[in-house]
Amino acid sequence: MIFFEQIISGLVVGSIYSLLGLGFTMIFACTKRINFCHGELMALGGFVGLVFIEIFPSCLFLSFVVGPLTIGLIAVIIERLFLRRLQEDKPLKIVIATIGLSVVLSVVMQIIWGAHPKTYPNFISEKPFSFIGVKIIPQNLFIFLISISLMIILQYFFLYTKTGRALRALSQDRYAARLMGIKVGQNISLVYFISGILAGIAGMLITPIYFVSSSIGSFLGLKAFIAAVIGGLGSVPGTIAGGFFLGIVESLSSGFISSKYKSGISLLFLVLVLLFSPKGLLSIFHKVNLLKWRKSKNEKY
Amino acid sequence: MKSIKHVFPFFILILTLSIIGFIPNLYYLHLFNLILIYSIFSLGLNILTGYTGITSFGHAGFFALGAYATAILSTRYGVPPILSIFFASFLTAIAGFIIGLPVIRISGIYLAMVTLGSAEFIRLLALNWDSLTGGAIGISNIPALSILGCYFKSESSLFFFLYAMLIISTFIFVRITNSRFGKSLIAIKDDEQAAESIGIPCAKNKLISFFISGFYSGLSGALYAHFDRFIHPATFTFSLSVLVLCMVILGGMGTVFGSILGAIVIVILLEYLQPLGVYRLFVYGMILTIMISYFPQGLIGILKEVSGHFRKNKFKNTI
Repeated sequence: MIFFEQIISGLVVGSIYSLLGLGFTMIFACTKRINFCHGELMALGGFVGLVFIEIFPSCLFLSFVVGPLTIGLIAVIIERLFLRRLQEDKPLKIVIATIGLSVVLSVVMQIIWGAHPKTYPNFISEKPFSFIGVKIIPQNLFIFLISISLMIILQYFFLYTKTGRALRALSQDRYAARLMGIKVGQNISLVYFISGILAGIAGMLITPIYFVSSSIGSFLGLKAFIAAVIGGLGSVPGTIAGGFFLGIVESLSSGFISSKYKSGISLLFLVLVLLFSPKGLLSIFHKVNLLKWRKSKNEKY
Repeated sequence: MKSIKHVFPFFILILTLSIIGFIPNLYYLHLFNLILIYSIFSLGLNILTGYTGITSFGHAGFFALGAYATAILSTRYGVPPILSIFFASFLTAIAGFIIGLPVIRISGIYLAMVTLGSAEFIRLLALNWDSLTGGAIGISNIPALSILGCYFKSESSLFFFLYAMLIISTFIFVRITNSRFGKSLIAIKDDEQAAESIGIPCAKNKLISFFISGFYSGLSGALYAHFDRFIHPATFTFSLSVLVLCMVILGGMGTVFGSILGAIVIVILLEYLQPLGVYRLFVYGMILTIMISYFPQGLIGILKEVSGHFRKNKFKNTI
């Protein structure tokens, strides 16, 4: 039974990883760039959620809407101020800029909310119930369900709405998309907005279990990035699968090997996947990829 | 002769520094020593980031490897420090070569992630391999530098040693970057496919630049270990990698003088912002972001622009 409990806790952690990893994946798919302050945005989401829950103590739902929207706006501001001018430049410049921003954001959070981890009461009761002999904590079930439903909504958005179709066009060829009348700059801002919202929701979800602090952002952000790369950066189903895979591997390895090298093992996985299948594990099933990673215009020749 | 002309401002700077070095103020000497060590470190990153165009987020790992290698060799096995420093830098160079091996298959952000991961792995090893590295306590009582029985125990004697090391390593660095090989690295940075098409072995040259970068970083790490005489894993975190990246980008990527200027500015900033504690990182992050998005040429670029502004025959450059 311990084995199943490990797997369930892995699934919960994995759902957070894949929710966060989706932010990386969306930005990568649409702009071929990586936004490294995504993890910090998530931590900021936790803190902002804390503030809003204190403001509206009776209406949990409202803070769940307003908090992530704020993070989305912050992401858009960051994109407009610093990243827009680097969009056409070499990919690594945005990475360096966002790494600088992530350092700045974590210090800002430390200044405002202090160094100690904070939390708020659980949304649902903590009492575990047992399901076919396996103990399940309702809070974890809640996190799992919310992230799964968000992923489904996101997938629907990308596949069946007009804006989603525009974003997919953008991800395939930016110049052709511009010729078809898609406003590139606006849509890139939109992508940052959505990824900010996802980060905000993930931050609010993890606060009751992990406790939010200024240092958790870079830690979880890196894990989510690894998950996205393992599954296949730029593909939505790949990222989701990668997140669950990494969560289960981590919780099994900390349960059965040693928790000291927990983050070392995930980094090892990253290196292995990059070496042997750089487009992710799911690239083996090419047909599954819906946001398919295409070669950009310059690389065709 | 072009190479001498290139380093000329640098030699003047070092000369003034060494004159100031005579001032018997231990605090300033300590700062200068730190600047010298970090200059070598940022030169090491510069050959990778500024010349070859590979960004590494894991140079703290190389630094740690150099420091730990020399510390273990000189404390446990009694190897004379001057030998152990070179052994440590050579070991780090080999480690850089091995970490750089994925360059054959991957590039860009993925490669940066591999360097980040390997640095984290080295830090975890240092933290958890208690019997070899002393775990979280670290290694203390590292012997001071000595050559043939004469010890560099005081800050001022160490200053001259480090200063000689920096001059030698800068000279070699300039020789490397002005050589055919150095030019091929710049070609790889500008356009890899074009470089490949004119017959430059890209993967091989990238690997060699990883090797050189590892050597320089390991050297600076080893020097740091003998300078501070106490090392522990908390020194070699991700923020050290950010710090050295900050030096390279602030000074100006792809310039020798730039990385030394970056080291000077950042170390002095580091010292004067000491009362801010952890919040200093805010300044580094801001520097990194604003420099890369608004002044990608760095301080050297700004200086060049300003000096071009005051030049008499302004139009000479435009024609």
